Amino acid sequence: MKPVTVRRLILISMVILWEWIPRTGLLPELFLPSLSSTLAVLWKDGAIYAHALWVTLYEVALAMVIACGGGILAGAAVGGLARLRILLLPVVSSLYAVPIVILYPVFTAWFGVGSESKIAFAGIYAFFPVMLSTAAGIQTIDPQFLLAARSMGATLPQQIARVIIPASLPTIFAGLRLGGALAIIGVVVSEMLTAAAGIGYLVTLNRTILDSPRVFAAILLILLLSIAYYLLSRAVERRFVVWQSAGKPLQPAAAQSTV
Amino acid sequence: MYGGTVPALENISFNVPAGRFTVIVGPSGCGKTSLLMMLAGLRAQTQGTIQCLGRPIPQPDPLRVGVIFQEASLYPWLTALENIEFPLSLRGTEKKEHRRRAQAMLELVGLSGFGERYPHELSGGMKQRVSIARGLVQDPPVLLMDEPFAALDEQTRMTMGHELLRIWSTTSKTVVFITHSLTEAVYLADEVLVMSARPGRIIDRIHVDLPRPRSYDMMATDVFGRLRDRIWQQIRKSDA
Repeated sequence: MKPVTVRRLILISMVILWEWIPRTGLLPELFLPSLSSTLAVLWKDGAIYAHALWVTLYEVALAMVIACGGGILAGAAVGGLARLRILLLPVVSSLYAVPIVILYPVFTAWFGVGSESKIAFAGIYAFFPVMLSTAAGIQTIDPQFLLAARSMGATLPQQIARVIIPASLPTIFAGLRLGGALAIIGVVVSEMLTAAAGIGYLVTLNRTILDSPRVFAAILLILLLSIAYYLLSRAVERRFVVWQSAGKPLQPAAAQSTV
Repeated sequence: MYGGTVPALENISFNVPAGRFTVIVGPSGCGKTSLLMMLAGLRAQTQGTIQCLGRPIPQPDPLRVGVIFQEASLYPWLTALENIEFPLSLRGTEKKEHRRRAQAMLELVGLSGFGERYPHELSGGMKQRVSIARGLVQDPPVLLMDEPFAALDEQTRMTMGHELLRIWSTTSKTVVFITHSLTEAVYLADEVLVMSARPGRIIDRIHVDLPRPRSYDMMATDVFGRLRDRIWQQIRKSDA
């Protein structure tokens, strides 16, 4: 069997097991509600979930602007300019292991329990990894590319537009993929901690009243959101970075941390 | 000279006759590449003058001097044809004319039909052919080549050397070619300049009077062996 076939079979059998195991009574509904009861709740409370999804998407989008926009620009500056790199990289790298989630209570004090604190937290949470990966990627650009461009008489603006930017595209897309995935995590986690809206909030709310189908309905939505983001970013990347996707398989680094 | 720096090159003086194939050979780290960078206007020399066609070359001038590097310098996001067009597209805007000239170069290097391939879809030898085509497309009278075949396996390297001579014979360019392969040096050159270890100096000039067109059989001849041996002796002496 081809790997694709096997993957599809695994997926289908997981869906079937999700429906079948709770029905046989092997696991109580509280632990694992059946797929059909989860979907039924999702259908019945459609308006509530749609609103929560909208809130979450809005927060993720703005967090991504901070993380990807800022992270890629800062990473490009740090990776491209040796002096900045020597100054900043050791500091940023050593902060990398700090669980930024401990700062979330501070964010709620500063920005309130609304969307602002989620956007700020998720934005910062995703910013540093994006910046570090961009800085590393920019440094791997082959200096021969620029030497060749100079020998062919390229001016500095031409070197930037025709060599540095295209050579950075794989790095930029990797940054987008990583930043989006981490922004989703950051938003959902902060919604689960302190919030009044969003999918993460629905998970926590329904867990406290032991309403498992509603918890799983929220989990399912987050799962679908993350997978959709991964597929979308990969499709865009394949379109723009022909020379990489055609040659070797893309590393699914970001996908592993989301799903 | 001060603070523990060692000059890369010292007392280098030579002229390259127009239309001739000159090979510079020397041990690794002797400053061959530095010398070539200076000839290309990519790096400034601290002392002395370099003249190319009667004028100094303070910065790259692709209409006078074309440079061919090792394979890594093809742009992976461009097709073979777009890579060859790249230097033309930096100045002109006549897209059709660029395409026509690039296509002609692609044919000259024996790659017609491969224009739409990306570098990762080409073999090492083919990439280097594209690179040669890119160096020739602006028709500069002088061509500098920095160990262009160093990354290739032995057989491909010999074939490419032979191909280069074929292309060169149709273009009448002045070529300065850097290598550390003695066989390659003798096979390609009209004249071989031998450099010493750091600080690099030119310690011998060897005229290669093998007839052209060169053929692989010549490598087995006594003349070829003696020339190669003489270069080897010079390099060994300078290293000791």
